Amino acid sequence: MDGLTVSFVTVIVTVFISLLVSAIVKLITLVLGKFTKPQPEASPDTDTLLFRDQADIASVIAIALTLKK
Amino acid sequence: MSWQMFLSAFQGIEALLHSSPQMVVARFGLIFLGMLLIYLGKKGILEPLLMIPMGLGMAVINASVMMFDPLNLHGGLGTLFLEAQAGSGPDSIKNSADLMYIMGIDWLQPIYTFTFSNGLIACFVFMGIGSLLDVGFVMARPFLSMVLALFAEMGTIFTLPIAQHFGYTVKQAAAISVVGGADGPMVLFTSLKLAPELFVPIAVVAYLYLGLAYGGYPYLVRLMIPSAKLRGTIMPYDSKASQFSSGQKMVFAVVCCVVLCLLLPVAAPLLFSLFFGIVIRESGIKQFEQLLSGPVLYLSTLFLGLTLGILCEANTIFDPKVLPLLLLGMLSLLLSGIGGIIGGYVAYYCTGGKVNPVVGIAGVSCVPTTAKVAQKIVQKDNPHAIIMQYALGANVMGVITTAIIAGVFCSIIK
Repeated sequence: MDGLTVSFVTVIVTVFISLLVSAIVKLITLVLGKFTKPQPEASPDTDTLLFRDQADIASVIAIALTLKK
Repeated sequence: MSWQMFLSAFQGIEALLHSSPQMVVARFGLIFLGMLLIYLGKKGILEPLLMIPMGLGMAVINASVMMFDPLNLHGGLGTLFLEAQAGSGPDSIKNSADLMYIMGIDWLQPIYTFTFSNGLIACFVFMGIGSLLDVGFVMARPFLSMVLALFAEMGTIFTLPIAQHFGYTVKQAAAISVVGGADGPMVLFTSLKLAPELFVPIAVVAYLYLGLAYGGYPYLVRLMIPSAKLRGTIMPYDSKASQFSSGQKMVFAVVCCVVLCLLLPVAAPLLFSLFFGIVIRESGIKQFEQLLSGPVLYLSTLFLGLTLGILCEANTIFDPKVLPLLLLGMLSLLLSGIGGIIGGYVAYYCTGGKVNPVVGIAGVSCVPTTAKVAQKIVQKDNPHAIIMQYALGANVMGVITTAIIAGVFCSIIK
């Protein structure tokens, strides 16, 4: 198999598997959404942020929530 | 004291005198590059976790070459760090004996043999990354994340035929093109499976460029999205990601892991490691989560950086076969960045302008660096624009997509 064929087959298979994963996600979300209670909002002091990346992400989301209000 | 005695006392200088002038220049060049990486890591321009150990390793390995070559592989020159070629000859009995002999001499050889050459370190890094991933961002918008991640694989797809044109075999070309997935552990894993003979240069090139690409991506984004207004497009904040319970996220991780391993058993160790990290995070076992996201991830990253630096010996890097790799690695990452932004534009137009096109760069999967890069660019143009939650979705999906592509490569290329 030459490079072009491998690339072409890879695109087809990857798109198929990615669609499958996305569909599984949607299905899980729909099915579990029907049977589980909504998640209570986590209070900020219950989670200890251990890593800089997590802290960065959390701070950006906190800003977004503030702006929303 | 004779000249010979002087040289015996200072073996580093003796080794320099026994090297060709080009190799001496190359060695000093790499010592300087190693020091530069340490400086850029300290300044925060490049990822310090990787660049500081890698830079020191690179500088030191090129300074510590001496007249020592027990396996007669390098014309009488060698080091006491590790021998990547030990045990790679055609005679399996001799290989085992050589490997055992070298393991008793080179201090990093056990780390290299038992964690690098079998992909264990890549799996450890993936377990750590998994334990930091919040799949809620993917679950909130799976199709948008998937589209962005697929476009950001453009480098992987297009570099393969280009690399083959450069004279590499399909297996080697595939291993090189995975650099475009911008996922270090995946590059290690694929090159070990498909082109173990190019494992060292591919891994070194990949990690060097990953550091450089993140400094370069903001320029690429500004070039391809020249309008500051467009870059500052506000995306509505929705709290979908935080609505998913840990149980739902666990179900997603378990089902995806089993389905993907069923479809791509070749990539199962890596897929398992990633989803194992996710499952541990969502299971609520704090002790395991802290173990994976702390000691396991950071110890693996430390030895990964250090060993990659040690592998940057001038003889390895300045191999004529390796030089085109420098170009192809850069091309692959550049094309992936371009593809990601094209994906961002596609999402922007398909949603009637609701998606900020900058979010596309986060489809290039290095969690969470590219997501942070995207957020930083957007916030510079519009302090009120928050795209982090969308960017993280694309980012996490990017990891999964790269794993799928690596698995497909390993499965279909025989």
